[in-house]
Amino acid sequence: MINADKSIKVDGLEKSIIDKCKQRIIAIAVIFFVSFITVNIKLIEVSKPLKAKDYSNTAITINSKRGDILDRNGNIVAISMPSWSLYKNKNQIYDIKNTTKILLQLIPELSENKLKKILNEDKNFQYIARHLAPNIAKKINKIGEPALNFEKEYLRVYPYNDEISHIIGYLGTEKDGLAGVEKKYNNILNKGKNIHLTIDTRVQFRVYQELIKGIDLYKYKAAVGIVLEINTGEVIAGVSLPSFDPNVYASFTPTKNQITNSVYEMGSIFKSFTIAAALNDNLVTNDSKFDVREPLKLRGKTITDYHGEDRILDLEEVFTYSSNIGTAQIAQKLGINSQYSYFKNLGFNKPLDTGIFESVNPVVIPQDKVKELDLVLMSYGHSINISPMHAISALSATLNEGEYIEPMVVKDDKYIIRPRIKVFSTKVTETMKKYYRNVVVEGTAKKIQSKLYKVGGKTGTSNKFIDGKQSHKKVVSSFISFFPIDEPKYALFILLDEPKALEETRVWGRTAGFNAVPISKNIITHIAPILGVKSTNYNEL
Amino acid sequence: MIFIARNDKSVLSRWWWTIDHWNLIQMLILATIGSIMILAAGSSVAIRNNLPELHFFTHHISYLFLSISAMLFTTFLSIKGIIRLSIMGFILCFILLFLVMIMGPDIKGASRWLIIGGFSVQPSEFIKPFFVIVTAYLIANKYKTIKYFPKFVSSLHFSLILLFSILLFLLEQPDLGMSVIIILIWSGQLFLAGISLRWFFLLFSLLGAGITLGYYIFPHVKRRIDCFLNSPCESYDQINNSFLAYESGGFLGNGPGGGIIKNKISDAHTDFIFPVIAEEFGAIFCIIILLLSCSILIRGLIRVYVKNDLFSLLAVGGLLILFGIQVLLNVSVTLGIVPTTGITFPFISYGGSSLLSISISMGIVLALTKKDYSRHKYERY
Repeated sequence: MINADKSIKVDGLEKSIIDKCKQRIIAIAVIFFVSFITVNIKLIEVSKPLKAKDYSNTAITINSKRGDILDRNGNIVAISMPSWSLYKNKNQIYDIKNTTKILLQLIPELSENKLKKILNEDKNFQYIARHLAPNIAKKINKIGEPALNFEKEYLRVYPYNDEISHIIGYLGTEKDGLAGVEKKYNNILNKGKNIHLTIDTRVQFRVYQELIKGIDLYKYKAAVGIVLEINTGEVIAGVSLPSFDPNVYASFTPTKNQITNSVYEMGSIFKSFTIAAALNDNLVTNDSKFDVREPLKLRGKTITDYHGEDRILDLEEVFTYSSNIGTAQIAQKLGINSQYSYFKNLGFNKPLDTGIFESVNPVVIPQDKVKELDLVLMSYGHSINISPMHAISALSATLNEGEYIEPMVVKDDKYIIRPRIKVFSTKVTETMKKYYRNVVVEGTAKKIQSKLYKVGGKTGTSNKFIDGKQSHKKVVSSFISFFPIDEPKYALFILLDEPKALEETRVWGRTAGFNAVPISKNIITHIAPILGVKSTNYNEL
Repeated sequence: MIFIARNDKSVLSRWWWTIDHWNLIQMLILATIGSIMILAAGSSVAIRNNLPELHFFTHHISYLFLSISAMLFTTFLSIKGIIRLSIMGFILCFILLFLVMIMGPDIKGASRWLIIGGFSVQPSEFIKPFFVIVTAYLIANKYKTIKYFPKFVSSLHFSLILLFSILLFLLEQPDLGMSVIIILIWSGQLFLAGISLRWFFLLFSLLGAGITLGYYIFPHVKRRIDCFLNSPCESYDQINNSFLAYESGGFLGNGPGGGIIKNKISDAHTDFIFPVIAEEFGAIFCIIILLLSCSILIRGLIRVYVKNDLFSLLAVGGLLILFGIQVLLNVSVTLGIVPTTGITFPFISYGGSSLLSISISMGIVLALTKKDYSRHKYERY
C-alpha cells in the first residue's frame, strides 16, 4: 500500500503522467483518423468503375456464341461449341518441372521448348493451347498453378469435315468468317442468328463420294459437282475438289472454290445456248439442214468436228453428235448482238450472288471488240470462260420453262424474291428436252443410260490453254444432266479438270462421255431416291 | 433514447445515461450489418463445404446473442470488477494457450484452436482484451514498489515478461498476425503511458527486426511475405478475387445477393467479408462502415479523455487501439496493402471467439467511459 507522505509526490507525478497520456490519446486519435482516411482513399481507388476494363482482362471472358449453319433439313453443318483455351498470366509458375511434365502429357501436340519458354516468361497473356476439351482443361486446372488460366472460347466445329467446306467457308482464329457463307453472313452469324442453307447434306455426301472415287479411275487434278433444283434455283449440293477440312485451324490450307470462283472454257455444253437461242429467235427449226462435210475456214482457223459424221445433219443431229461446224453455222445466223443479249440474260455478265462470298466475274470478250471468229468459237464454248455455277444455272434456263433463276445456297428471302428472267419460250424448252434426251440415247452420253432413271444431258470437252497454246492432252471435260428429263426437276453438273483416259478407251477416254458421264450416272443413281425422284420402273419394283 | 427519462433513478436508467449509448448503438449497427453479410456470404461458403445453407448464419446469430449479453454484462462492471475479471480471464487464457501448444489440433497448418465441449475456441482471441487490461493495470502502477521485490523491479517489467510469454505461445502456433497485434497494442499502451519517443522508435526497430527474423525462421511467414511482395502464390488468388470484388461492386454495388466473388473466396465469411460487402453494397457503403468504426474509436477516446485516471486511459486507449488495428488490418489485407494476416473485422466477420472477444473489449470500453458523476477527482483502488 502507498504511504501517506509519498502520496502527494505520486499524485503530482501521476498528474503529469495523466496529462501526457491525454496528449498521446489525441495523437492516437489523429493517427487512426489519418489511417482510416488513407484506407478509404485506397478503397475508392480500387473500386473505381474506370478499372472495369482490367476486370474483363483478368476475368474469364465469355465470347458470345456465333450462330449455327444448318442444311435444308436442319442438319448442323457449322456449330459453335464451348471449349477452353489455356493461357498463362504474368504470375510465376511454382513448379515449372512438374507443370511442364503434366502439360506435355495432357497436350501431346505441345513442343517442349516452346512450352518452357512460355512458362518462364512473365508476359501477361500468353496462349499455351487453344480449344481444349473440358476433361483436359479440368485435369490442367487440378495442377493448381495460379498462373495457368482458362478462357472460354467457342470453337467452330464442322461435322461434315471437308465435304461442304467451299460453300460454308471457314472461320479465322479470330471470330470472323474468312470465306464462303461464313464470310458473306459474318455479321448475321455473329449476332447469334442461324443460317439455313439450301444444301442437302445427304446429296452433298454422294456427290462428294463419287467425285473422290473418280480420282482413282480418271486421275483428274480437280473436279466440281453441283446439283441444282432448276425450278427454284436452290443449290442442293456443291462440291469442289481438292477440298480441305476447315476444322483444324493450324494445319489446313484452303483450296480454291471452283464452284463459284473459278472459270473454265466449258466447251460443247454451250451448244445448248446457241441452238436454244436460234430456236427461240426462229432462225432455225427442227428441219433445218446443216452441211458439215467440209471444215469451216474462218480467218485462218479451221473448225472441225470431233465426232465427224461427214454428212448433212438436221438440227437435232448437230446437237446429238456435237457438231462444231453445224453450231458455227447457227451462230453465224444468230449474230453477235443476239448472242450477247442471251449471254446477258443468262447471267454471264456479272458474278453470281449465291450466298457464297467468293464469286468470279465471267471472262467474256467485250461486245465492241468481239470478232466473227469469236462469235463462232463462243457458240460452242470456247473463248468464253464462266464458272460451273454460271454454267449450271444458265443451262437450267433452257429447260425451266425458259426462265433463268440466279442460283442460291442460302435460304434467304432476298434471294428468293429475285426476279426470274424469261429467256426462252416454252416451245423451245420442249424441243431442248427432246434434244438432251437424244444425246443420252444416241449421242455422246450413252454411258448414262439407265433402266432406273430417264436422264437427258449434254457433254462438253475443251482443250486447256497452256502458255497461250491449246493443249491436246490436257482437257476439261464436263457433263450437264437433267432428271427426270420428261419433267425436269434437278440438274447435275460435273466438271473434271485434266482427266486421264482409261487404258482401254485410248485418247477418246479424255472426253466427257468416258469420265464425267459415268460419274454422273453413279451420282444420279444414289441421289435420285434421296430427292424423291421416282424410278421409271417404280411400279414394277 | 427517449423512452428512458433522465430523471428516472432506476438501475437501467442510470446505466443508459452514464454509458456511451451512442457508441453502443454504433456497435450494434456493425453487428447487424455483420449478420446480414454472413447470411449472404456464409451460405455460399457453407454450400461449398457441404454444410446446411444457413449453417454459418444460425451459428453466428447464437454467438452474437452470447456476445452481446457478455458485452452488456461487462458494461455494468466497476473498475475493480473489470480488473478482477481480466486477471482471471488472463490466467485462464494463459493456461488455454499452453494447452493449445501441447494438444491443439492442426487446422490449415496452424494449431490455434481448442475443442471445448464441441466448440472450437481460439484462446489467443480471448487473451487480447485481458492482456490489454492487465498491461494497463501494471503500467498504471509502475511507479509503485512491489512487495518482496527489489526497488528497481517495477510492474512494467512484469508486463514485459507477460508479453514475451504470450508471444512465445503465439509464435509456436504459429500466428504472426496475432503476435504483431499484441506487440502493437502493448507498444501503443506504452506510448500512451508517456514513454519517450526515443524508446518508442527503438521498440519499433525491434519489432521490424523480429519480423525479419520471423521471415527467416518460419517458412510460412517467409511464404506469406514473399507472396505479398511477388504476388504469385495461393493467397494471391484471394487478393486478386478481392480486387475483382471491389471493382465489380463499384461505388454502389451490385445489390444484395448480386455478388459472385464470394463463391470464389474461401474465407468470404471471415477474413474476406469486406470485399463481399463491397461487391454487393458498393464502396460507399464500405466507407460508411469504416467511418462508423472510426467514429466508435474516436468517440471512445473523447469519452475517456475527460477521465483523470491513468488506468482507464491506458485500458480504454489500448482496447480502442486493438479495435482500430483490427479494422485497419482486416481491410488493408483485402486491399492488398499488407500481407494476409488472418485478422477478422470486429463485429462483422464470422467467428465465435473473435466476436466474443471484441464484445468483451467493447463492453469494458463502455464500462470505463461511463460518465463520472462522483466528486472525487482521483479514484483510488
